[in-house]
Amino acid sequence: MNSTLMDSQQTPQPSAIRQGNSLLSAPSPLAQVETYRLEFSGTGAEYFRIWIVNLLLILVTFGIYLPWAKVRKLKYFYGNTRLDGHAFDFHAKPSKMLRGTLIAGIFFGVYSIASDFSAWAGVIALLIFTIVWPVLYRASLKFRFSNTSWRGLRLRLAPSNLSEVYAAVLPPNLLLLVPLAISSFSKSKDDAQLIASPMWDWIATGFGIAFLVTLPYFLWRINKFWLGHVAWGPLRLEFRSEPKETYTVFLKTLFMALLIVAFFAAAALILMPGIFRASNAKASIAGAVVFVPLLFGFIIAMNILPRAFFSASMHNLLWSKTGNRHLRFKSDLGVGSYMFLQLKNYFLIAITLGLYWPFAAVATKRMQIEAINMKNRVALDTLTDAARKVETDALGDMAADLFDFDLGM
Amino acid sequence: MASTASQPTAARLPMQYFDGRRSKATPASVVVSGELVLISSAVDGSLLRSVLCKEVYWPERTRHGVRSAELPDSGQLQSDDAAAYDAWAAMWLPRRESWVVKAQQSWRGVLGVLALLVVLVGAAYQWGLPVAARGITALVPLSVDETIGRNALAQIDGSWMKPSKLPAATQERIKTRFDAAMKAAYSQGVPTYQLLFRASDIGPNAFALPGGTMVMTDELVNLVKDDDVIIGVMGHEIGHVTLRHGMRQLVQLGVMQFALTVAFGDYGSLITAAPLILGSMAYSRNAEREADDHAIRFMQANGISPLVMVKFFTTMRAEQQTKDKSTPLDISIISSHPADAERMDKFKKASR
Repeated sequence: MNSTLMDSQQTPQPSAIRQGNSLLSAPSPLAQVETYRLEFSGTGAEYFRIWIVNLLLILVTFGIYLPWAKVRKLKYFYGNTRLDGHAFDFHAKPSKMLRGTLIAGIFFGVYSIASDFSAWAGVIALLIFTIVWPVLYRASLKFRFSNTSWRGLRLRLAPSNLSEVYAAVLPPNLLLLVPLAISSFSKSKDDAQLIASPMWDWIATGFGIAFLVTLPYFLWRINKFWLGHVAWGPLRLEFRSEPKETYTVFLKTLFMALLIVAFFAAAALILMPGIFRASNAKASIAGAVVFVPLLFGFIIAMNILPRAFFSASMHNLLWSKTGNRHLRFKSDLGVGSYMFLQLKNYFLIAITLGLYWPFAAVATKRMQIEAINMKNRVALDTLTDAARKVETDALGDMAADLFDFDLGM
Repeated sequence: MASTASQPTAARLPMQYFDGRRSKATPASVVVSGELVLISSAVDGSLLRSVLCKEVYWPERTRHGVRSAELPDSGQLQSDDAAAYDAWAAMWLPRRESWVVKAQQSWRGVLGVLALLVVLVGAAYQWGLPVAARGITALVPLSVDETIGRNALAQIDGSWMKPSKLPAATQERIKTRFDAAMKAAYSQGVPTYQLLFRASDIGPNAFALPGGTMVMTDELVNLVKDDDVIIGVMGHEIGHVTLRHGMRQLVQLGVMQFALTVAFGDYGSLITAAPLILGSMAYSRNAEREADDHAIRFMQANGISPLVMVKFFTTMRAEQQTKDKSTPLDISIISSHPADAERMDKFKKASR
């Protein structure tokens, strides 16, 4: 930590008026632990207005406005997130993100149509994507952190080896690539003789299972990477969790999905006892009246509940196991109320033909953010920043957005 | 600076100053003086910093949230009193608020924008995207269609189609007849195409793949014994090929998917699935209408009355009813094809 504090002396601030010696101050310990809860003050109504105007501008500019829309959205969400009374801020400049958006857009377009051409093109595109993704991912973290500030200090991504990202991302992608490649070759007649033997089916299945079994481990690694590299001033976070906690979340989610299946199977058997005997037309119509709503209910429950359960549980895991010896976070998001919120969100989005979406996004963010509190044993206003470099290359940021397919303006 | 003296509260705004390197907020007083912004300590009045006003990124007006101005070389000025900041900024900053911010902050503006958005999305969907898809498709070389078609055929052959059981003589007769019909319809030069017969699980049907491969099922040939009808059906399918409906549908689907993701990205595919499916079905119905028009021209060029297609639809309907007894739901909004009655009407009118 000393070396980073030394760095800060070397940063000249031409237009700043220096304030004594305070740049050298180290975190000073507090007599007692302070607790702060994150607060969120944004509203659905205001985000609705921002969203509508963003959508119009994206449409009339054929997408060129995307970075401006993204910055407005993030500035709104950050500026309404407060910890210890101080709001976060997002500093990226849209004009600098534009180039990255265009490059990422072209890259994304080529990638998404490649698999329509041939099995080979699809596999090669996937391979290139697998190799490039860690670079983009790290660039996006760098960009996002170094453009985020709290208490006037920017966050940053602590120095990292690219090999750490590759070690977390490459194995699961390669495990997935093998069965995908085999299945796309076996579908195409020309290449089918390449992999005619049933041995290939076994190989594909084996890799598929290996992928599923190791996925929680690699997800844990990637979380450990990004949370462990968040740095703010002289403080750096750590993710103090073992892989088995991520495995527990996955297994609970699987159990939840099985419960839903069991529930609907039982409901079908009780409501339609003659489901396997219905022979006359009357019975089959009566059956359909019960069966169709049940099927819809099943599809909706399966699509919403396990996903909501998973994200709430992961949120609690990530934000309860992160910290360092000066401060630590704790998240107590109610998993049940989060799942109920998501059911309500989907319902209202559907009946308003999408117009409720910004309200849903704000309600979700509010619940996630306000579940987090921070305990600290360091005086938060005594910290100083190390030398920092502002990341202006937004390629990674927009690319990660496009490839995660999670733009949502 | 006389006005400054007479309105001290309006000119001097209390803000929290961060120097960009320390996490400590300094209570400060901010005043605009000519091209400069002067930041002085609220405690002892000493000047902390002065910057050029135009080099500061001033915050935009929102109803909720902090006002945070970004200084060059990473310092910040923050105010939690949004109303005071907004009044001060409107008075003292030489900067007009953009119409984007104005629209975002007024419900009337937002309703106007929403109305405009609905109209534009409707127009883009109805006219813009089809025209753009046609333009983009024109830029894509035909070899791309062919590759996609070859791929699709290989996949279909591997799953739900088997080699044809039709006698070689029947296949040959239909091919010869269709060759002649193509030459009659395309006097300027016949597009490349390939006609294939397959036994299938999907019953009587015919379809075209991008690039010019057309597949006719054995069941269709056996059901309609009239070669004129077969020529009419093929005229429809070759319409899909020459109008490159496959490629156009691919472009339209991609753009719709992207647009829906931009609007509703965080909510996953359950929300975007319904509009995507409904949208692509509507485009598909339009493509079918275009292909029907093409079939009519194709038949007329060959001296066949479009009325034979009416007979074809009747035969198909009867065949479906003998199979599953119940009347199929004929709701056009959830169908990839227009209603049979509409299509029969078109062929009837064309034959007059």
